[in-house]
Amino acid sequence: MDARLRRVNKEIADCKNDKTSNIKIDLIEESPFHLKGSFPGPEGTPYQGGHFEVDIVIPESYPFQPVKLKFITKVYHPNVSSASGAICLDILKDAWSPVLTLKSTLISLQSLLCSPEPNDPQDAEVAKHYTTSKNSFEDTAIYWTQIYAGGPGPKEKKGKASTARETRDEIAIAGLERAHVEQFEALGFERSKVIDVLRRLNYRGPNVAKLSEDRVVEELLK
Amino acid sequence: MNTLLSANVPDPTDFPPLTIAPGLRTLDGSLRCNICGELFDAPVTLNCGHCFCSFCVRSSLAEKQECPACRKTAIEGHLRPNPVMEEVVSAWKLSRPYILNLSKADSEQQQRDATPVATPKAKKRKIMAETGTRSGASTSSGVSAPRSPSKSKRTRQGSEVFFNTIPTSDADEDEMPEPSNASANPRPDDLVKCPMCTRRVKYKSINQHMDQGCKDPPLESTRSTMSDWKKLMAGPNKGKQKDTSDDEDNFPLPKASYATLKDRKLKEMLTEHGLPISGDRNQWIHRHQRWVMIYNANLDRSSRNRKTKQELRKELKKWEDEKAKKRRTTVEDNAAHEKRHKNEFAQLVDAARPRGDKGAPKAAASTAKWTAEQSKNNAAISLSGDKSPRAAQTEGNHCEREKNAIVVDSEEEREMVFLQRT
Repeated sequence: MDARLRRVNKEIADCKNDKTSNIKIDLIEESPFHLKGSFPGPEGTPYQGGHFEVDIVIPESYPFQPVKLKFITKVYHPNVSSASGAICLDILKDAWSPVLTLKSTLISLQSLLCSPEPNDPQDAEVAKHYTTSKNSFEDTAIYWTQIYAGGPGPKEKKGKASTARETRDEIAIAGLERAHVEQFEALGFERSKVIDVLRRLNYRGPNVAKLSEDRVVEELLK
Repeated sequence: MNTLLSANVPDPTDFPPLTIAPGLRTLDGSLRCNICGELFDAPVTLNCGHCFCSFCVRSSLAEKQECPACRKTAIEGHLRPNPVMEEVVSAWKLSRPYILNLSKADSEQQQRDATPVATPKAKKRKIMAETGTRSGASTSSGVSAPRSPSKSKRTRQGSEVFFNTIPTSDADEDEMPEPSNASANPRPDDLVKCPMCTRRVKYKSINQHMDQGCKDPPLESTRSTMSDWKKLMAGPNKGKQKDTSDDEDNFPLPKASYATLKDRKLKEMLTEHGLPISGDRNQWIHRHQRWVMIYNANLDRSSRNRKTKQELRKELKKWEDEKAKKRRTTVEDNAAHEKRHKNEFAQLVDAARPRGDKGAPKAAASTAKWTAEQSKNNAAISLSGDKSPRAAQTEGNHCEREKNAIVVDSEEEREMVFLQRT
């Protein structure tokens, strides 16, 4: 058995035996070099309560080259691509060290969720959202956690009508301000189209001041 | 491939957890290299004090010149063999199965004791009856002389986790195969364990043995001085006897800057060590690099554990064979292969199609025929764009289609073939 397989074996056994870290590693298919890791969202963050899955590919020259990690679960985070799940983390690139294990890298991912690094973003849009209005960013992150990672959702009274909640969801997922969407909706445009255009133009935070309303309407009329 | 994963690879978790046998897991874990997870093989220490297998850390330093554990800068020149660690590891290798058995038997015993929720009194009597024969032996052994405290600890077994640990050592001594031999006054010809090297030595010669630093058969020291002399006498013309004596050249091989070397010189360097010169220049370089690494790592073993050049050559060959095997996977059944990777192909084709096609009014484009040119372009896009992990993994696999005699070199071409067929 080659050294790489032996090491992966040990690492999986290590995760199985460690019940305190809450990190799980499973096989995806037949290959022991393509795995699925999962961990709970860290407490005290918008990701709390969610269950996050990560695609793990172990390269030929492991452990001298880093593992390839990618989120399977959609995550709203400055250092995670909201489209592909690609992760921007130094230890997955040039700061990798062969003493790092699957468990320790997954723990690092977990702590990346705790401390976003908007200055070195993977998803520029999300990072902008984070730096401009953190509250609205957290709203979106909580919604994404709820929808994609099975999180508990925002703490609010359940008395609201369900339709209102759904529309709020749409806006929050796009990372937009509710008032802005309603402003253009009042001009007679479809809500979905408004969200689409505002998202494309990145109409949020200080950007709102830079973009004239005419420009938005122009886009809407296209 | 679950069988592969369930294959029994020894690791620290073989031992019972901290609560039952404190220290055992940590002990096993700290005698393992943090890179490969195996018990140290030719342990070497860096300037920062961290210890790794020689081969592992050499491979790591080839990638990046820093200590894998603490990231302090390190170079191969810093590596120093750690013979003490090597001794410890070889002793642990010997004793590991025995201790594993002991700890297993002990934890089973504890479980058996713990399951019937008996009153402490009844338990005490039961254990006393059970150990009645054993305690006789332990008194004579003299090692566990303070008999009454050990007994009282035994009775508390199961009720307090902390005390669970003490009987482990107790049982240890009880079950030793030679309790009477190790007793207070062994006869001069009895074998006793040396406290330093754990080898069995005659009692009358134990002092002498320890005074000599546990080198019972003092072969190594004389041999090394002899070879030193030989080297001195032989002088510069050592080329002739190169292969006859392995401990001749105890110096690590220098690294070569392959880019500046001519083909002929490279070949010479390979033949010098009895390595094959098959393959192309690239393979020669890889072969020589690997050889230098395993050769130098071998020198970090103590001379007792060193492998012969012949063994090292075999190792190198095995590594090359495995590498070659991985590079080439032949596809025997075309239909089955297509079926099995249908999803993969579909994904790739999907990724290759321009995004705008879906649902857009330009639907005509999607129904249009794929010309060879188009498919080529799109294949390129799919490769540069986001690849599915599976695709990335299989990338570079060479597969041959015997039937159609099309040799497919890369993912790109395979996809093209698929597109042309559909």
